Amino acid sequence: MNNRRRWTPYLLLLPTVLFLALFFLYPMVQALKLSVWSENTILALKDEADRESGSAGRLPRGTTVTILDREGNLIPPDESDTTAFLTERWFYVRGDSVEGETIEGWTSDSRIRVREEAADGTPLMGTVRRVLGSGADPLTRLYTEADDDSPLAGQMEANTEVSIVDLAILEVWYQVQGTVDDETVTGWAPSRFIQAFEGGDQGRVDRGNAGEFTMDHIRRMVQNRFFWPALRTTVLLMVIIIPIQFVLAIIMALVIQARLRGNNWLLYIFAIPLGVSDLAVGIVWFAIFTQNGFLNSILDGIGLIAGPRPYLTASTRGWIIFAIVLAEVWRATSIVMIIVVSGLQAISQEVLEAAELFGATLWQRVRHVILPLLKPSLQVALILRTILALQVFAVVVALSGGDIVTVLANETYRQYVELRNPNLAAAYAGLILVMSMVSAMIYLRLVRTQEEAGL
Amino acid sequence: MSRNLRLLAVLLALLLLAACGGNEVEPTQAPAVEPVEEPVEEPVEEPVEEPVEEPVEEPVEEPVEEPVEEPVEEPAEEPAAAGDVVFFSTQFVPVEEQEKFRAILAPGGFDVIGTEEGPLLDQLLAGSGAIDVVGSLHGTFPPLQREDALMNMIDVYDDLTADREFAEAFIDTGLLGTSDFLYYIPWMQATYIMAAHVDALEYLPDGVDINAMSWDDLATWCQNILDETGEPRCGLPHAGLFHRFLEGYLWPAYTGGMVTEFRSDAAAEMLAWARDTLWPTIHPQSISYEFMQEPLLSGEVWVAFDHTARLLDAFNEQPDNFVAFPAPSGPEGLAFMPVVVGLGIPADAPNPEGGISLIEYLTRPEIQGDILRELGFFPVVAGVDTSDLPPGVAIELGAVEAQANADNALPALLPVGLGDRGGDFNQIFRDAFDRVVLNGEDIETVLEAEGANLQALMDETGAPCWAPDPASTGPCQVNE
Repeated sequence: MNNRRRWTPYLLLLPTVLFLALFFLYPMVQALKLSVWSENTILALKDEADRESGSAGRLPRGTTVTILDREGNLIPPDESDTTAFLTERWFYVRGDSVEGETIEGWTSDSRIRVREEAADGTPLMGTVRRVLGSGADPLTRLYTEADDDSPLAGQMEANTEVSIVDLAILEVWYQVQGTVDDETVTGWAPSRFIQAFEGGDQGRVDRGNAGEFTMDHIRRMVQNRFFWPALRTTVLLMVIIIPIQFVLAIIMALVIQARLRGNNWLLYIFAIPLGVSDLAVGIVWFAIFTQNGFLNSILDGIGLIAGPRPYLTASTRGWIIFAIVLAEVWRATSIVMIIVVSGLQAISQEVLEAAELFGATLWQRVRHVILPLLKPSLQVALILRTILALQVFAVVVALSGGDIVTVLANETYRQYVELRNPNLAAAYAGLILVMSMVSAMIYLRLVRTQEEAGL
Repeated sequence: MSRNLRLLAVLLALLLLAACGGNEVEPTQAPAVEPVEEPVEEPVEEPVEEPVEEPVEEPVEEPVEEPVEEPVEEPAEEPAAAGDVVFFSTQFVPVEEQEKFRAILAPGGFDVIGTEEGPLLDQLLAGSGAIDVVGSLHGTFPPLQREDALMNMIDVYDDLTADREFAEAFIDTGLLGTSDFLYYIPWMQATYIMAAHVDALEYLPDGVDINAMSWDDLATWCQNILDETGEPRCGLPHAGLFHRFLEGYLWPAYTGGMVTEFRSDAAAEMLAWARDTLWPTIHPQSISYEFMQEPLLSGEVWVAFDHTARLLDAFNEQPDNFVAFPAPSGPEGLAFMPVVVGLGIPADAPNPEGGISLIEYLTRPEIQGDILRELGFFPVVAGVDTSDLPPGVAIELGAVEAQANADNALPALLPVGLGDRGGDFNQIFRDAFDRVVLNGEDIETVLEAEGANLQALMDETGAPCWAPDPASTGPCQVNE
């Protein structure tokens, strides 16, 4: 009986927990893993040209290697679909050579266009493909074996008709030798992982087949040219914007609380920015500050300046910051105001009346009664605003183009969208996450409400 | 109330049915097509050796009439397949352009879905198996090459050349460094040129020919404008495709290379010139210019460099007020960057036959002519009728031809072999410029550091050099 009652709340919670784990925790962990994990950077070599053979060492991606040997493992045609390897298909063809004799030999299927197939799909006839590319040899070579290192059997011109006598599907392996940490490693790898240079003796590890834990992404993030400016600007904006917003929001809330005439209208007007998207706000403010924008038109019109002055340029970064601050304050103060208004309304009238009866001035009431009682709402607003300030993005991009003045969120975007580098983007996103969590924790400690402090 | 509910339920059920039905109709089985599994043997050995001289020459030469006869018979073969072609294009996404493009596609029975590059790449790399044709800039294709996500177009190209002639240069770029695997069929081309307001012409330095000027002349011109009018009126699209200005124009014009000479003395001189002579004459608002046609039309800027598609509005709206001219030359020649938009078929396309018929349709000379007239992208096949062009397009065409056919033309091709790291490549050039010119850092230090970044990128991707750099064995090397 007791047991059953204890389990019920957990059972009710279970769907929520599962939901959170599935849709929040799992993707978040995966995303953060990106910032410390490199996919396909290590190539594990084999003892022999065989998947089942033992390991012969590892080479990182990009290592220059000497190609010692090449081996093609024949795969029966009916298994060609099942192999996970990249395969090479070779045709044994017969046709007229450049010299006009009938020759036969092996050539890669990329050189032959199949024109006629048997009912079961076996190629029968074909023509030699044209070699494209202005620098390439226009002739197609035939080899005595299904290997382009084997002796030449002859050469054919483009569009020569050939009959396809035989077909070989090969899993090609290279034996490579490379040096990593002063240690020479020799082993076999499938061809898809090796990029062979012209001549065929040299090559490089083009991709790996194993990942590894790495601090590379985080190091690259910190060394990135935009990292420190972005971090500095983000923090600077936070430090400037948040105090201004709180002072303004509290004043606005008090004005509304004073229940003047037209009070409702005031609330609506204050709340307008809440409904405008941040990119739109950025564009509006850009239209104001740009060289032929509203600000210059007005100043010029009333004769304060002689001609349009440019504000949003690389040599006037202070102005860009100023414009961003203005736009952000205009845009996001009302959300703080709404939280403060709701906090104010929760303060009981009796307390305020009592303060008034004891002769407290307005300032004294605000300082000693209202602000302390507002603490819980201010805490919520602070956490919310700080997290939002760490994400500031669209306004900055609209006003500065994103290169001259940049913020962390813009760098995350740049890495993910423009540079298509999810690893670095994850590193930036992780940094924003950590900063948000730390700031929230600091606020929870610093702005303790009385009940909590007493505990 | 309950009646309303019932109605709603019936509606929902109908919607569901419609949704399921839609799925069933969709053809999931492709007709038997040769499986594309050839490994790219020696991925990146022979980059394009020879700078291709005249990418834009052919299209204009002869308004031939014959091509009209042949193509007509072809679409009749596959009318059924044509209706189901799923065509994703990163070009012509804005509504107005898309409508014009739809009108061009409609007679062939095709349609298009506009998309951004990022989501398109993600969808293709994830193997959605729902896209038949991809129409996108050259830069979209290298990441797909790496994952073997595209079909070899070599036989399609072979068949198409039976009745039309493509500009060779773009076949070279479509091979992405291989010799056997054509990743896309060229669709249309563009490049970057200069535009000037006629009011600016009176400040042109004495004896300078607008069609054969040097970068120094341009700086002098901009300085004259600044001195005489009191305002800088030359603009660069720093928030737009500025990296192409650096990779394809400044660096090659001054150093003769893009990668190999990145940190040479000539590059240092060029940066010093850009910082001390050019940039002070450039409109400071340039840092937020994306499309130069906007500041040109608003009068904020008189002389500008940008992509032809991003200048077109200015020429179209005020053809009498703007002139187009080729990019200026540097000590090493008139460097310029032709860009190409290609059509590829994903390896897992449900209807590759239909895709091929769409590609055949879009590369017909008369359709290429329609695209030129309506949308301002230049043709890649010969025999396009260029009479009767809208004014803006005609103005641009003159400059594009003059640029490609200049005696000292030095085509700088789009990067090849960088896979999905093309963005990093662009960023290195932008960083080098911004650090020196905007932040005032020491040139030698910046070139040393960014040169090292560039070398690291080349080593990581294994990309061999491309034009105008001489061909290399193995990753392209940045000279000391």
